[in-house]
Amino acid sequence: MNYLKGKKYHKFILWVLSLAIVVVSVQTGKCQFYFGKNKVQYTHFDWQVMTTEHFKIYFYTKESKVAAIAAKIAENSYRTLAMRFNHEVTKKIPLIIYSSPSYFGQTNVTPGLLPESVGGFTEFLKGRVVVPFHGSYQDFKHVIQHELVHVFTLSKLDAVTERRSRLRYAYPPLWFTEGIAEYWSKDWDTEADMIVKDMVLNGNLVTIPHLYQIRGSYFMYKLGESICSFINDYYGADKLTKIFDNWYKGNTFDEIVKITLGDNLSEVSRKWSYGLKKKYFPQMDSLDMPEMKSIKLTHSGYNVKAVPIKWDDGHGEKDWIVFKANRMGYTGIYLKPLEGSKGEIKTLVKGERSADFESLYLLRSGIDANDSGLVVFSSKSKEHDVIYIYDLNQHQVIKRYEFNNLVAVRSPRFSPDGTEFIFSGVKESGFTDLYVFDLLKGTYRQVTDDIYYDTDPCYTVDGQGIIFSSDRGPKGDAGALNLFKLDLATGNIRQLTYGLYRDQTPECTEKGIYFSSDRMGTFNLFFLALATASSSEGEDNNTITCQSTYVTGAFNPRLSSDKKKLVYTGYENWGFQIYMMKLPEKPEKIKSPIVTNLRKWKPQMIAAKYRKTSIKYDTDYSFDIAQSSIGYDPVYGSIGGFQAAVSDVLGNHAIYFLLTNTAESKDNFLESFNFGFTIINKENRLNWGFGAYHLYDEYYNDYDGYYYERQAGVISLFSYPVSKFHRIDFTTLTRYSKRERRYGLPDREKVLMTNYVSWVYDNSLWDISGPIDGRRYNLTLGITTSLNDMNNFNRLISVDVRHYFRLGRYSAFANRLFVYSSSGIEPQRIYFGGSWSFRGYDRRAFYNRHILFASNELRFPLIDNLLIGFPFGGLDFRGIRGVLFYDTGAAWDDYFDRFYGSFGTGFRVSLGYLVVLRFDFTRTTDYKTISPHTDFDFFFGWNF
Amino acid sequence: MKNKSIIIIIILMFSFGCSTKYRLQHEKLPDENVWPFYRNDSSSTGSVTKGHFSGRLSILWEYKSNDKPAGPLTIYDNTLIYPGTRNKIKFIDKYLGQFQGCIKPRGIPQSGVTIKDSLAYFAVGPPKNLLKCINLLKGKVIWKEPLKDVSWGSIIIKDRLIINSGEGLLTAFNLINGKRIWSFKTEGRLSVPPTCGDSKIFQPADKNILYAVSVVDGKEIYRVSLDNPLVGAVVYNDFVFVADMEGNIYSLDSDSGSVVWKRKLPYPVWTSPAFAKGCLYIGDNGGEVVAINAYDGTIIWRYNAVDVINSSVVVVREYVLFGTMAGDFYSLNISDGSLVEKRHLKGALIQSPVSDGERVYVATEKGMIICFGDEDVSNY
Repeated sequence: MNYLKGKKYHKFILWVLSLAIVVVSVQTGKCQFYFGKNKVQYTHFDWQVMTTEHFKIYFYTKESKVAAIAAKIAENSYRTLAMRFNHEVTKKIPLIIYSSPSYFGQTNVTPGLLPESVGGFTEFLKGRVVVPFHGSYQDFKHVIQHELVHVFTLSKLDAVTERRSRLRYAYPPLWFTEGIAEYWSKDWDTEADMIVKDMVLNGNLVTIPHLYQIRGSYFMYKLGESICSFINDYYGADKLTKIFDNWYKGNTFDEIVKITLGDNLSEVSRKWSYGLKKKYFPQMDSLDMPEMKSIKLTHSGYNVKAVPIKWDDGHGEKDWIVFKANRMGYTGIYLKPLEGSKGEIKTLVKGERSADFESLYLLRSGIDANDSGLVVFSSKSKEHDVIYIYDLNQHQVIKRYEFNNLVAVRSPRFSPDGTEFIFSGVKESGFTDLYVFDLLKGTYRQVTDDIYYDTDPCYTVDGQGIIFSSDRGPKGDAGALNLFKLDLATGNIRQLTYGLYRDQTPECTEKGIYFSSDRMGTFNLFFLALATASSSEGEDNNTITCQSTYVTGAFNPRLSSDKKKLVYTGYENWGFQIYMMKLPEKPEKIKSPIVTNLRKWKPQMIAAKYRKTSIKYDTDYSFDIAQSSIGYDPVYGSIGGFQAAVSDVLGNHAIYFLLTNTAESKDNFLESFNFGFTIINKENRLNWGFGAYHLYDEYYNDYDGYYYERQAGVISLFSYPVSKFHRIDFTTLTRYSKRERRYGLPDREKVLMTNYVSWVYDNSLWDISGPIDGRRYNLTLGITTSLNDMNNFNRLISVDVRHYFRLGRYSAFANRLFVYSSSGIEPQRIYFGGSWSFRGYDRRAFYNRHILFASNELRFPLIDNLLIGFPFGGLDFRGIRGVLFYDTGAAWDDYFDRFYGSFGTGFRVSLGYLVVLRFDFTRTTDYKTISPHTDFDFFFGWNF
Repeated sequence: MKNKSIIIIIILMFSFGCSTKYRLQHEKLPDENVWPFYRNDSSSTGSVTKGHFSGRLSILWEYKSNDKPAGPLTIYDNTLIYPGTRNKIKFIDKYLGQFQGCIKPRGIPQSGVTIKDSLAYFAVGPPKNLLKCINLLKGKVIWKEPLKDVSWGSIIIKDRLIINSGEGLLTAFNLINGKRIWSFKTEGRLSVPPTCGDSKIFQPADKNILYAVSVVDGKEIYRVSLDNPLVGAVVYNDFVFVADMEGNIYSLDSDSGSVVWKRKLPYPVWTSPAFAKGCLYIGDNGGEVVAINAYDGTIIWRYNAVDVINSSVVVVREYVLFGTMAGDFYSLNISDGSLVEKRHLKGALIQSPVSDGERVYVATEKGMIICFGDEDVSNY
């Protein structure tokens, strides 16, 4: 029953819009949402600004060295890209640097939570580039240049189209913008080669017309890079630049490509696919797929970094592997018997559901385990990373170690005697060094201390040395990672492997070191004999043997307890799995480069004249949005309003404005101004805001009918995130409210003060149509006091509990319990009913002050991919999900009436990540009879 | 009534435009005036040897246009012709910088304008894709021919206009009646204008090929395959000098097409070289202008302007002139590359400067047209 019809509806919308902008949407980023995870500003940064020739670099004092390096990289990248694009960006580019991914995750430049996989981003509204330092200078350069390609792309397209007075132009597809950003920010590398090669050899290559199916994925980035590389090599080195130069000539990207290359995208795709086959198929002659030459130990999801152990689980000593995996959307740590390809998998740690295990760093950090049944691993926990020790015998975490001056810790590894573990840690300055933790004393010490990127440490068999991977070698500035040995007694560091390769994840044995490396063009497993390890630095190192010859990739070698097999992470068919292979009997010796130049390198910093320009950051506001809307109603005349939002470069401060007028004649023009502003501060962990507003309009509700209401007041907002998953919101609203009612009802004039406090919890995991795992709670209490007579004007309690029980990768059972109650002189009634709440009943069918409602829903996959062909083309729907549901509830004012119920089925169609279409077929019941007809409801929105 | 009048005036203004239409006066028609190519001559030397230009960059006048330059400027007797992106070709007094009038090409005149006598030739780009000839005395279109997506710059050689199109067609049109005299189909696409020398047309092409075509009948004389997409060519006596986008400069024998020498510059090149006094002068994307001995390819001097150079260098008497994408305009000594003067202008410089030997004219991406010269030099 929709009571808001016709002209009144316009007013209602305007009122809702006004209130939404002034009161709700201007609240601190998180508390405006009923649910939602939190971005927590654990750290207070003392922001500085450095101005260089083309950039404004925003950084904090502790990372001043990293900022100076970033500035130099950015200026060099700028020059490279100016040449590539044949273009100069005339405005200084804001570049915001964070010294670690943990700090980067706190940025307010974008309001959303940043997934762990995001290495940096460019915000298009103000052209801001935000990049964290992960420790590797090569990666740092890659990410900065990648993001700058986006800046140049936007600037160039604007310039080209503006030059031809073309206001609207074709928007580049994501695969092209990301592909060219990859292609122009680094050389074609082993990872890209692995991804594309795997697709080609396994017959999974996604052609250009179908790239939207993997939109936004890492695979799309790599395929986009491959396509750009192909265009450059096949059509000519000028063509990528000319695609931008010709942008004004076409209405679609396909047209622009056709004009520039002479071929349309389908033809480019055909030639590119053929070229890839010509390139990769011959490799199968000498190389193998992991699955064909190894035993596959895991089968579903992503499974990585396995550690073989010999452990007695109470049924005798057996071989096991402890590994990390993302099997159902969350990352966890698992245990499984080594024997048998499909043995039982036990979950040890469930990650990403609580503040203790916010992130287990699936790919970035290794784990270790020993035969005593202890597992050591790192996790993000609130502001910093911590290291946990899990005891398999006790089935629980037994130790938690925090490191106050380290913002990130990675890849812990036990010493042979189990009294220590070594790990790589990142200081606030951003530099990555090695640390040893003494388990007996509970203290840790730093064993390397410099600007180089030291990672993947492991003890030598005698426990006297550390083997690790580092960029400190002569070619480290070009991206090389080589193996080094640190003597713990003397602190001496000796280089063990050489060359422009990435030698990583060493595993020490009595005879030598197993490691993975891309020294043969693909990541494979190698063995460095100890004789070489003990040779002197710079000596020709020629005793590396090749242990595997996989065509896609092999990583993280660990020797089994019988010393005859290697357990490793292999890549094949779009994913990582754990494999086991026998050690080759006669491994092939490979040639290593002869090293003559052992020069030391240091990352370059921007010139001192620019560093001296650094000044304290002063809030620098600019417009986010400024818009006006005008509408015309035949009866009520013109209606309209102006909305604006400004925020600072760092996104910590924002001001929102609203100005509308709801006058119906010129006599009440002045008194009908609706205005409001809210100031928000998200700089610290406690987010706060305040504002003031005046609203006057005609409103409607089912209880009072039509009435005019004038409201003027002030609002204050506070939101304190306890962790990523919990928060407490507090809102205070003090207002003058005058309600002029009709139909003989008395007017009401009050000064009211309302306080709301909410506790919100959310650790849900989302599928394309809504949550499928986790929990969500919202408990809200509110009380409104009349300041005229100090009476309790009204009070309310709202409880919303939602549980999602995972049944499979794409299926879940979801239930919801919602309780709402309000009482007092003028209780707050709420609308209920409709597709988003009580299905089978009209939208806003109920308007009451007591609501009791429960919903149960089975969510399951229906159709994974539906392609409907038309003569003019096809429509491709992906991820169609089905639901079976049963809702029950009651709504009443003073006296409980009865329960209502509904049940039915439906399906959800995802149109990308922004829109979900909901189709429900419902029957209602009063628990005596069932409605004779099936009600069909169509709506937009996610599942609850 | 008053309101109706205002509405009618507004409609008329929108219908016919409020700008002055340009008409060349019979009495001001010069005996012969040819601006055969945007690089000053049909050989694309980009070199002006006459006049008294002193190398100083004193601004004599500035004209603010409400549009950006769609193609290169043209000097026609006492008039500077500016092809704008808002479908207007503007005529400006080259001494005073005063607007004289405009014509409407009904499209963006992306080829720039070439002129012989009272006839102006230009091509408008997509979606119209037309080559037009306009009589400046009457303001009437004499002829028009379909031509797809021309590059900037067409050449007038005797009785014919040579122009190329993006789809790879090089065509000669009769100047008077617009009839196609010949067409030559190249492989791939053409985005660089042709040049002419010794009855041969040299057409650099995207597919790494330089074509030599007869002016007379459009027959291929030879073709030379080089290493990368070609971005410009200049002809001088028995040599044709070609630049590719990877920064290679080639000297070729114009009769046979054999490579005489090759020089690699460190940065990509997107501009044409200029030729003067036995040297080539070329700017690259690394912001360097290089003077190269035209006979052996040795580098004489370099000047680093840092910012991207996207417009071809010109030589006016003893000075090398060029602009950058950052909006800086430079005057260098031709002998040693030393800086004579530098000016920062409003807007990037994408179009090559033009000169009559006395003054230098530049159009920026912000629609500024600037005249440089010496204040004490008067041609009145």
